[in-house]
Amino acid sequence: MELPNEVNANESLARYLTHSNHYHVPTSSVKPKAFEPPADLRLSVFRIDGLTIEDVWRIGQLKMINSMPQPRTLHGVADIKASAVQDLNLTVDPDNNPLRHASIVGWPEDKSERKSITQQLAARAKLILRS
Amino acid sequence: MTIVCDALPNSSFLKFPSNLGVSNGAEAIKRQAEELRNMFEQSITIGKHYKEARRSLTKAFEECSVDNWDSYGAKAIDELSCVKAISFSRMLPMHVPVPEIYIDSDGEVTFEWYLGPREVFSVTVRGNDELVYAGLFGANKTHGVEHLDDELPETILDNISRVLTE
Repeated sequence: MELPNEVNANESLARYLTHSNHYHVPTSSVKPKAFEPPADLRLSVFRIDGLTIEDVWRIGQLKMINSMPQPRTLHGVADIKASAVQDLNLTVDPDNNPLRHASIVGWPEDKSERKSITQQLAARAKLILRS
Repeated sequence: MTIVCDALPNSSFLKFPSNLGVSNGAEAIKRQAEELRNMFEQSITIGKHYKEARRSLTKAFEECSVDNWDSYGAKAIDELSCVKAISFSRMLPMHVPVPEIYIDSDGEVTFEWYLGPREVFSVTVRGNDELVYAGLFGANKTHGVEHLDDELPETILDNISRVLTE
């Protein structure tokens, strides 16, 4: 399935969860820490529309986990609609490098605002754990 | 005879107001306050926040002591933020549950109370004594900056209470 260049508001985005502090088992929810932007303020996600869950895990393992300098475990994904990102005045930049990769950009300078945004993104994300 | 006769700010036994005195009496009070604090920190219940903070931060030092510890370009743990985080943990009231402690991608220490997706409050303790906070309580949200002083700011205490009672 070929994805359009523009990210549709209804598209599903996957944020890979690489640490146990990215999610909360008792409430089956994603924690704000999972959406904390890195130093360059480009939060890495993958566009997952049209993929099976096995494809999602395969991409996560090959494109994320295996490319990290430190050994990591793929715990699961936070599945979030692009509209939830756009509602918070952030933008999804589909750089397609690697294939299906995009970055959430447009984060405010103010750290308290960024913290608030991560809480709102996490509240709207769906947790899918790798069994 | 000089004895410690001190208010207990925000129900925490572990944080005494700054003692700026230089007299022999003031020095004696300072020593007694330190002895009291050491005694309380040995207590399982009273010193729980402080002990948990020290445990978490010791672990964080091992895991986050070099740049790029998260593989996404994070800065190494900020030592001054750590020192302030220890002070912050001493100020937490005893009835407050022990929060989770994280190191942010900029190296600063964050305390988080997470009960669910819309029941969360977190505070980042900066090396310059700023407390950067954000909370989500049902449909309501808040964020801002407070200054860390001898006592926890009311705003921080109120928001901790808010998340625990949602």
